[in-house]
Amino acid sequence: MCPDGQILSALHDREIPSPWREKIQEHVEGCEKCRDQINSYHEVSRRLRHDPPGLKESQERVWQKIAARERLSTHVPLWKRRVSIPAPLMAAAVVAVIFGLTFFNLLPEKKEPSGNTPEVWTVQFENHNLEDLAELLKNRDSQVQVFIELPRSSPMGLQGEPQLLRAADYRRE
Amino acid sequence: MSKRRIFPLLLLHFAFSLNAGDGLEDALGYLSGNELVVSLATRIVESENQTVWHMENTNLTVSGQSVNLKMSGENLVIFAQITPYIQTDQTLLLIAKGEVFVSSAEEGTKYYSTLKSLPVSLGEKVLFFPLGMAVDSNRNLYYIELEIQVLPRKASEKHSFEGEGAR
Repeated sequence: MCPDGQILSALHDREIPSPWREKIQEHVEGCEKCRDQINSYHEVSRRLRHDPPGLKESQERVWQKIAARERLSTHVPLWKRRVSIPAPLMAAAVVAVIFGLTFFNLLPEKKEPSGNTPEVWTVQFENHNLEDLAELLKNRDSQVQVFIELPRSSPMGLQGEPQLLRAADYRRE
Repeated sequence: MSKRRIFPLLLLHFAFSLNAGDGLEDALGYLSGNELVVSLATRIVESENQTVWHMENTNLTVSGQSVNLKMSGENLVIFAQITPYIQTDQTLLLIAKGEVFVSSAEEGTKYYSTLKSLPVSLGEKVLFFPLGMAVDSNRNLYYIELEIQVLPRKASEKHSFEGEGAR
């Protein structure tokens, strides 16, 4: 009995845990048909890793589309919007702002609440190159099954505490 | 070696043999009954809830064995570890571990880690936001949404077959 294609594919992707992995591996080593199939997976992986046909071009195309979409976005930040205000009202607003700033500066300083941010550990590195950090974590990579390269142009950062929730409970605003 | 010491060792050996099986058929037999398909849809969503990028993939695993992801961006690296545990009542306990390394010129490199768990039904879709989800329109940051669905392999094959048939 030979393992089916999905099992062999999972074996190739290192998704089958021990001790089943060793048993299937043992079978594959002695079975020409299974070995050929595993070799074909290796070959596909190798080609995709080293010589992916047209990947650079399509990647470039996708990034350009994302960039074009960002440019086309009609969202104008508040600070860039033009608003017409009558001069007397503007003068009154300036006076109010100056008065307000003076008043708040006289108040005793309050401590900001800590908010809902996750606990933070700062890690020191000799330089701030994430590639060096990735090198440090290389042994972690051997356990990783899925590598995703995020679009370089997308601004990302922590936005509150990480969440895990049922899709049915999540409402997009 | 006394009998008292040999007996537990024999018991241990017997238990291991039962669990591991002796041949390929045992391994395949175990896997065919316990395989779980973890379907992941990774999305980058902008502050106005528009998906600007997405990627889908499936992974085979067994209960208690994690599916590990690494997402690399311009200023951050995210490690996500999704572990499904089948409960005795055939429900699922999903554990998501997230580790984020964020780098900025002002603050250097920072490390954040989180561990979340959620009891769900098999096939129920779950969302994991490793970077959080508090949208701040002033910062105009994108966030990452990981949609997770865990199904037994057989149900997953039926599910995808029905999906193809419906098209």
